[in-house]
Amino acid sequence: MTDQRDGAIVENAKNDPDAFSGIYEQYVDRIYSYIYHRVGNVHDAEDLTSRTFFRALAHLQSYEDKGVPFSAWLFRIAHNLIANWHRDRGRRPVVALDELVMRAAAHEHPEALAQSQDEARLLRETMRALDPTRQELLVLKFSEDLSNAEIGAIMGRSEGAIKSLYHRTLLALRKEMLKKGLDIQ
Amino acid sequence: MTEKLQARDRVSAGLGASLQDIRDRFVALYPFRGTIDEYQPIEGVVRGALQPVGPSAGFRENLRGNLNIAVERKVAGVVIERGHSFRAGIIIGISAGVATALIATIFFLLRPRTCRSQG
Repeated sequence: MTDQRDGAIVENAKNDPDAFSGIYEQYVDRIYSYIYHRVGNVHDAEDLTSRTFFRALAHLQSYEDKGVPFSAWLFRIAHNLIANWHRDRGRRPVVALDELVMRAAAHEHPEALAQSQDEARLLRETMRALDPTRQELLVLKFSEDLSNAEIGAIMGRSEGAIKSLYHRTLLALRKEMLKKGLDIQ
Repeated sequence: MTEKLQARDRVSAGLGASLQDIRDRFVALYPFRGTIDEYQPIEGVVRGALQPVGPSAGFRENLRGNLNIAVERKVAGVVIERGHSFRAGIIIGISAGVATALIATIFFLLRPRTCRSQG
């Protein structure tokens, strides 16, 4: 249903550039969230989000619906910009989890909040040590709630490879967290 | 220099894609054999930590405005072309200079012979 609606919005925007605002409103939060988790700071997240939408506007005519949802095409643009960002700066991706957990746990009891912060710290350390590809997979899977097929389209891999990578990533994460003494049962 | 770097990036990206393809095929041959119980608890922890975040209202408004301007330009058919670089200008200038000098030299060499043959 969503794909059909997206398709209609995209086709409309191809014929009428003024309709591009529909695409923007539909995706700005998701694209920003994805980029923020991958670069770890607001300034670069805003810059890369802007560039993603300007590039999408410039190349919208080249998008063809060949079974890959428009969202995957848009995330792919962001994915490439993030890859360039990491390459240019030679930085390791940083997952800014502190703020996220603070937001998520804002309505929890103090004890639960303290425990969440401690878990977040350990999780952050462990995730920072992961391969950038694995970090991206986790963000797309959990923050954006995308399917393996959609993640594969974004990361340029097969659905089977993503499924396998996902399981191995979770196991590696679990192993490292248990090493750090975090109870995840 | 830029062209060389771009070519190097293209070759690097091509090699990376090929290696990734080989790795994916290998992984498909030897699929994961773990059980769901092994990784299920971690899903909840990661999902809880990776909550979606949104941009500030100011950024959202600003980007919306900038995109609207870009859309208006697109509708108006304004095409912003990349200007010639300083380096390209130097190359064009040198080429034009060499061509002029060559033509002048040819004229200079041919002219006396013409005069002598007329004389």
